[in-house]
Amino acid sequence: MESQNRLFSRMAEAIVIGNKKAAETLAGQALAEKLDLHEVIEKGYIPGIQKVGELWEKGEYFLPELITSAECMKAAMAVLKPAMESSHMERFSRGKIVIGTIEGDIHDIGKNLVASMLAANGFDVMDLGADVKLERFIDKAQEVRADFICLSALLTTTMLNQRRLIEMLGGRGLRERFKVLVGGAPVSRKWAADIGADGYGENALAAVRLAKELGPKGGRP
Amino acid sequence: MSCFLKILPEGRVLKAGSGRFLSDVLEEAGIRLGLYCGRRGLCGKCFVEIVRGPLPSPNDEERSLLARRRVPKNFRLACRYRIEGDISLRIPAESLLPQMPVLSRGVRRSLSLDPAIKKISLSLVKPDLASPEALLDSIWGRFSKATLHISMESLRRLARLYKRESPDTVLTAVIHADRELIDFEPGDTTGRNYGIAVDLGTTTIVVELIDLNTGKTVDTAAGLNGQAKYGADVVSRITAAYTDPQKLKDLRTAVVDGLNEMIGSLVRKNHIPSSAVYEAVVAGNAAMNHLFLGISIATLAVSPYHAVFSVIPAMPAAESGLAINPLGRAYIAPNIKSFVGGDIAAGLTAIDLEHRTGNFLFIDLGTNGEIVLKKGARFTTTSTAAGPAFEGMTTSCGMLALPGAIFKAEYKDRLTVETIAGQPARGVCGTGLIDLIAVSLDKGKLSSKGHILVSSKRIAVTKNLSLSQKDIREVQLAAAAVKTGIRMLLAANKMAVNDLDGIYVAGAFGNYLNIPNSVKLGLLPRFDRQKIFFVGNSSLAGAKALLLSRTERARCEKIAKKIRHLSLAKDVEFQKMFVEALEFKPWN
Repeated sequence: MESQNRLFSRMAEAIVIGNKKAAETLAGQALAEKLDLHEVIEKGYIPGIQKVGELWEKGEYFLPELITSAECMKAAMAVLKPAMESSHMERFSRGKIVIGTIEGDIHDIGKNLVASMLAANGFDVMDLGADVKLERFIDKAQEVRADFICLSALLTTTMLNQRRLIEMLGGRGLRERFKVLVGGAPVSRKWAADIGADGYGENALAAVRLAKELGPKGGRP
Repeated sequence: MSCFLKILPEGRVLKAGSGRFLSDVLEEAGIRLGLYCGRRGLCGKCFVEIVRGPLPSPNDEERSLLARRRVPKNFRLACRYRIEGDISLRIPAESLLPQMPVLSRGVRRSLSLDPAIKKISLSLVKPDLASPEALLDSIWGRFSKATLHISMESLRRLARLYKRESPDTVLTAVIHADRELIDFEPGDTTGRNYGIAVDLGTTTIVVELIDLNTGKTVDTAAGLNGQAKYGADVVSRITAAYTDPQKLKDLRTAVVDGLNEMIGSLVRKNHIPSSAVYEAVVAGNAAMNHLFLGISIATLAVSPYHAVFSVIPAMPAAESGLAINPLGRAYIAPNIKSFVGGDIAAGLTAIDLEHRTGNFLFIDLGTNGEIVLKKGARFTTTSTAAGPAFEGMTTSCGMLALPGAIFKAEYKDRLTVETIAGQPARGVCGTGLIDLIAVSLDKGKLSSKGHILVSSKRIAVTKNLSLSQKDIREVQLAAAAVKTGIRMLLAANKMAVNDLDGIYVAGAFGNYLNIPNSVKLGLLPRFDRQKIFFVGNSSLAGAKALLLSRTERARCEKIAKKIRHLSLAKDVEFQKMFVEALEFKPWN
C-alpha cells in the first residue's frame, strides 16, 4: 500500500514537472503491477494536473508549463488506454465536449490549451479546430451526444458568432440539450450572460472548474 | 429617472439617466477619458473619485486595480460605474486623454524632388479677332501633352479669372501627376506650393507641413488618434465599425476632425492659407486607411481578413474630408495585404529597402508588430499582436512615451530610471519595460520563464510604481509574438538570422530601445549591433517621400503589390514556436 501511494505521488510529480518519459514509464509500471487503473488515474495523475492548475493560478506556471503537463497527461493516458479498452472497463469520463474556435476566427492557441486541460482532467474532448462553421458545432455535438459545446473567440468581431450559435441552437429547439461555454481574450462573464451562455471560463483552469461543476458527473472528484 | 452629476472642483452639473455608465455620460459631455481598453474595465485608466453618492462595491478586476495602484477606496472605473443616484465626482488628470505632443522622428535619405502637384504660371495673351482662339487651346499649346484631363470646376475658375480688359492675364495652372488640370489661381503663385504628410497611427498621429518647392518640412504636429475612445487596439475599432454603421461614421469623423485640427493649426501658425496645400499623403495600417475613408472594414473583421483596397489613385481632397484645398488631392499609401497596410509600404519606401542589396529584416513595433523580410528580391510580410503591451496599454503601470514615462532603466549600485522630459515618473513606456525586465532577470528577481521570484510578487520600480506578475506575462506574450513572427518569416524563406545583412527597427521606440536588453528578452535576435538600424517613424518619412516624389509613389505601389503575406496563426508550427518563445532568452 505504501509503495502504491509512493507510485501515485511519483505520477503526480511527473505531471507537475512535465516529465513525459516518467509519466509514461509509471503508467507502464501500473499496468505491469495490475493496479486498478481508475485509481491510478484518480489518485496518481489527476492530483498532478490539479497541482499544475494551482501553480498556474498562483502565477508560477505559465502557458509553456501548462502545455507540457497536459502533454504528459495525454501520453500517460495513451499508455493506459488499450488495457482499459480490452478489459471493457468503463472509461473514466467526466463528460463529452465539442470544442473549437468560432467561425471567422483562426486563432487557436488558447482553445488548444483549454482542450488539452479539459482532456487532462478527464473529459472526452472533440476538438474541431479553428474557423469552425456554426453548423458543424451543432452537427458534431448532436452526433456524439455531447454534454458541452465550448466556443473560443480571440477577436471582438468573431465573438459575435458565439451569440449566433446560441441563437441557432434555440431556433432548432436544441438549446437545452447542450451546455454552452464561451471563452477567449475579448470574452467576459458579462458577455456570456448577455448571450445566454451557460458559463464563461477566463482561462483554461477556470474552464475545467466550470465544466466539472456543470458536467453530468458534477460532484464526482 | 434622472440623476445629477456634479464635477468637482469647477462644479459643472450634468444630468444623466439612471443605470447609464458614467464613462458614457462624461464622454457625451465632451470630457475625454482615457478609455484605452474600449470600456472593458481592464486598463484601469479611467478611475474617477466618487466624492459623494452611491459607491457600489468594486468588482474583482477593479478591486485588484485599486489595491495595486494604491488608489483610494472611493475611486471607481468610470467605464464600470453605473449611475444609480446623484453624485459628486472628481476626475484626476491621469484619467483624461493626454493632449501633449508625442515623440516623432523620421529618417533621411535623398530622393529626387518630383511632387505630383506642379504649378505652372501662364501669361495669357488676348486673342485677336483674326484668330479668336479658345483660352484652353492656348493653354494646351503650352504643354507638351495636349491630353490633360480637366475638372469642370477649374474650367469655371479659368473663365472667372480671365481679365478681358487687360492685354494679358497672368495665372497659375495647378496640375496633378502630369495628367489633370485641377485648378487655376490668379497671378503667379508658383512660389507657394505645399503638401501634408500624415502618419496615421492607431495610437498617435503625426502631421508634417511640407514645402513642395524645396522638399523641406515647414512644421510638424502630433497628437493622439481621436478614435482611441473606441478602443486602444485595431481590433476593437474594427469591431465598433463592424457592429454599428453609425460607429463607422463616428470613427471616420473622429480621425478626420483630429487631422483637420492639426492641419489647421499648422497652416495658421506658419501663415500659409490652407488653399495653398494641394495634396495630402496618408500612411496608416489597413484598418486605419479604411476607417479614414469611412470604408467598411467588415472584410478585415473575420477570416480570411482581407482589405477592400490596396492601391488606389489619389482622390479629390474634398471627398477625403481633409481641410486642404478642396480641388487638391489626397493619396493613401497602398495597403499591402490583410492588416499590413500603407504605413509599412511607406516605411519600406522611406528606407528604400528594395534597392538595398542583400537580405534584410524590417520590424515596425507600433500597436501592431509588423515584420517584413527581404530575401534577395523577394518580400514576405506578417503582422503580430505585439503592440499594446509595448505602448503601455495592457500593463498596470504602462503608458505611452509621453513626458513622465520611464523610458530607460539600469542598475548601477541601485536601480536608476530616466523619464521623458525629466518629469516625475508617472508610468513606464515600452523601452522602460524592456530595460526593467532585463535588470530583473540579471538580478535574479525574475526567472527566465517569467515567474517573479521576490516574495512580494511585485517588481518595485519607484515608490509608487511596480510591475505585477500579469504585467510580465503581457510582455512575454508581446515579445513572443514578435520573435515568432521573425522566426516564421525566416523559416518560410529557408533562412537563418545569420543570413541577414541588417535589421531595421521602426516605431516610436526610436533610439531608446536598448539592444542588449532586447536581445536578453528575445525580442530581437542576437545580431551584430552595427547592423541594427533604428529608423524611427518610417511611416511618416515614407508619407513624405510619397508626397515629394512620383517615382517613389510608383515604386511603393509596385512593392505593395509584390509582397507576399504569411498568416501566422494558420501555420501548424505557430503554436509550438510561440509557446517556446515565451521564455526570456537570447536566440539566433
